[in-house]
Order: sequence, then structure tokens, then C-alpha cells
Amino acid sequence: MLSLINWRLKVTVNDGRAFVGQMLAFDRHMNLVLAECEEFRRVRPKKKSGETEAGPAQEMKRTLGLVILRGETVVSLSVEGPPPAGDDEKKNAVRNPSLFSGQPN
Amino acid sequence: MLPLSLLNAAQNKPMLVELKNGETFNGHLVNCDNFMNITLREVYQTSAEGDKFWKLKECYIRGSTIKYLRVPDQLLDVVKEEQNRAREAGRSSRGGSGGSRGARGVSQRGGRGAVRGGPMRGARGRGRGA
Repeated sequence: MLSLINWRLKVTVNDGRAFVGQMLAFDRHMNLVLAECEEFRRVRPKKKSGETEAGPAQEMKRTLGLVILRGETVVSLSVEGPPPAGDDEKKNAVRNPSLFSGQPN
Repeated sequence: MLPLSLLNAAQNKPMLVELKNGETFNGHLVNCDNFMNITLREVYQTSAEGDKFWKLKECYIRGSTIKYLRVPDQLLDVVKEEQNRAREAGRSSRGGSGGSRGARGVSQRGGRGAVRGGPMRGARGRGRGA
């Protein structure tokens, strides 16, 4: 997880939605802080038995901004992209051991 | 920074909370704890289908029912600023990570006052003593 910090991740949650955002923080519960977060949900076109044309799976996108995602709902994580360029400040924050001080494990 | 410290820093800020059942709550954060239990003020509650609305003066939300919270983007700047200040202060007085550990404890104590306890109690006690 630590190596993924500041990366742009796609997080699938247990209601089928996916959150894509830069992971700024996490904790032992897998609570996540996602910056510039976007929510995607696949709207599967449910076909009645009579209909044949396969409607395209619509992808609904919503922009959420800064999000605190509860760890309980997280199903999977995958990398969507590298850390956005030009945030040295954030990279320093990762190296700083104080990030994990006070956390029992 | 931890997710819950960001939440702590969001006190008195507007936020949107979506519950696992799909209901959403829009309001200003009054208080929160380490279980993510929160109280909101001046709340607009929306049903999961988005077809019904309620206005509530104040409400309490059990942390375990929350799916996610949307907080203001500007909050990041505030928290980073605070973190940097704490780090600098720690460096100049004692140097190194010990300083920022102490500073972190101080800012959290200030934020939440008496309502606390829960899973991280033991660790925090150690942190203060060091």
C-alpha cells in the first residue's frame, strides 16, 4: 500500500461502483483519501427476454473531488496511472516516517 | 496524514456523506470520532433513489453505515499547511520524526477534546509519553 501512495488508483467498492483518484492516505482499515476523485458505475442495460439489441454498457461518470472512502466498502484496488507530475512535496511526505507514527500494528 | 485526521480537520466544513444504503446527507460537520461516527448540522437528507428529501437541524450518523464522505478540496491545503508547520516546529525544537509525532498528537487532541477512546487509545498513550 505504501508504494501505491500518491498513485492514481481505481478502487472497486462493494456496490459495483469504482472510484478513480489519487490516493493521498490510507489506514489499517483501508479507509482511503482520494483526491480529484471520479466515480464510475456501469449501467448494464438489462434486456427483457423479447429484446435482442445489445445496448452499449453505459458508463456513468461523476466527479466527486476529495473523498474519504470507508475501508469496509473496498473490494479491490488497481493502478490507474502514475502519480501526477510535479508534486515533490507529496513525495517527501511519503519518505517521512512520521506518516505512520503512533499506529499500532 | 490519515483518512480520519482529514475528517477531523473537516470540522465545521460542509460535506456530503453517502451511506451504504445509498442515502446521502449534506451538512456541516459538527464532530466525529475514531469510529467515523459523525454529527452534522443543517442537514439535507436524500433518499437512495434521489426522489425524497428531508431537512434536519442536526443528525448523528453511525460510522459503520458510511460508504464515503466528500469533503471540500481546499481542506487538503489546510491539512498540508498544518503538517508542514508541525514538521518544521518539530525539526527546529528536537529534530526528526519524534518532533512531528508529538506535533501530530497535539493537533488531534485540540481537535476533538473529551469524546474519544476506541481502538487507538493504547498507541496514543505511548505517543504522548515519549
